[in-house]
Amino acid sequence: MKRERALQVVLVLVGLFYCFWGYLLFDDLWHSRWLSGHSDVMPMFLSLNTALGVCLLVAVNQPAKHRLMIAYGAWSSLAHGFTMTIMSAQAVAHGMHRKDSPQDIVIFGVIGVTLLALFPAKQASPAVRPERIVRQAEAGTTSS
Amino acid sequence: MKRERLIQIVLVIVGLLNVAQIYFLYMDLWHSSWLLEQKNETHPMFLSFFIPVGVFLLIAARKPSEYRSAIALAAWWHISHGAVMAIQTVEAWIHGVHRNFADVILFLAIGVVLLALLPGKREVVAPAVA
Repeated sequence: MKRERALQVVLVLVGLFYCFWGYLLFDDLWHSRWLSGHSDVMPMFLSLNTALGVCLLVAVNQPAKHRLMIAYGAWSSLAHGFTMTIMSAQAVAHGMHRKDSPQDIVIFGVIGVTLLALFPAKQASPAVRPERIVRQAEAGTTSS
Repeated sequence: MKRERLIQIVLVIVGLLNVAQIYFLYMDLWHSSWLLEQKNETHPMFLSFFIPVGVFLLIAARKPSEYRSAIALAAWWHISHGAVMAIQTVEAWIHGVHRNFADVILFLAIGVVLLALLPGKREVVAPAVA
């Protein structure tokens, strides 16, 4: 119960954090700023995490029902952090420094690891249960 | 049954398409091309999101009804991506820059198809039946 509450708190925080990217997305699209910055990937990049943020907030009510979605939130954050780690290492190898590194790597790594650590246990499938019970009952009657 | 088979096929195709982005990510990171040639640090991060989505869609293809929320996430993910690209295309046209809109159609179509084939909610049977 305590673990579930902790997961819900983390889901709200991470969900809100990713939803905030919606503001950055709006800022990028407003007055076509992405066009003057010559980076058409940035708004798309922001839109993916905004959608993830909304979905993580949806999962807060019943985390056990949205296991794969939470797993996706965890692994996409880890993939993001891992890619940034490679990029930072490459930048250092070429005598440059990546802006925001290594704080961004740590943030996404922590998000991914925390979500995985608090990952909800699998619920027993309710649709299967009665069938199992019937089978067990039948086995019981035949054996007796 | 037919509908479930159909969504399984769609999930496998979309999943493989997303996983295939690993090749482009590899090309971006290979010889630090994102740093030395493209000078675009957002692109590899952007590509890194597709790979987990692809893997999770392939997992969901085994039992789509058990992974409704993950499929819904992937659907809205593609729709939001397509909607943003649609806005970008319009803005580019307004400023006299050409932007191909084929990707907009592709992503919106994937999102709508996934939502249309989204498996129904399973009825919860109370354990008290026993």
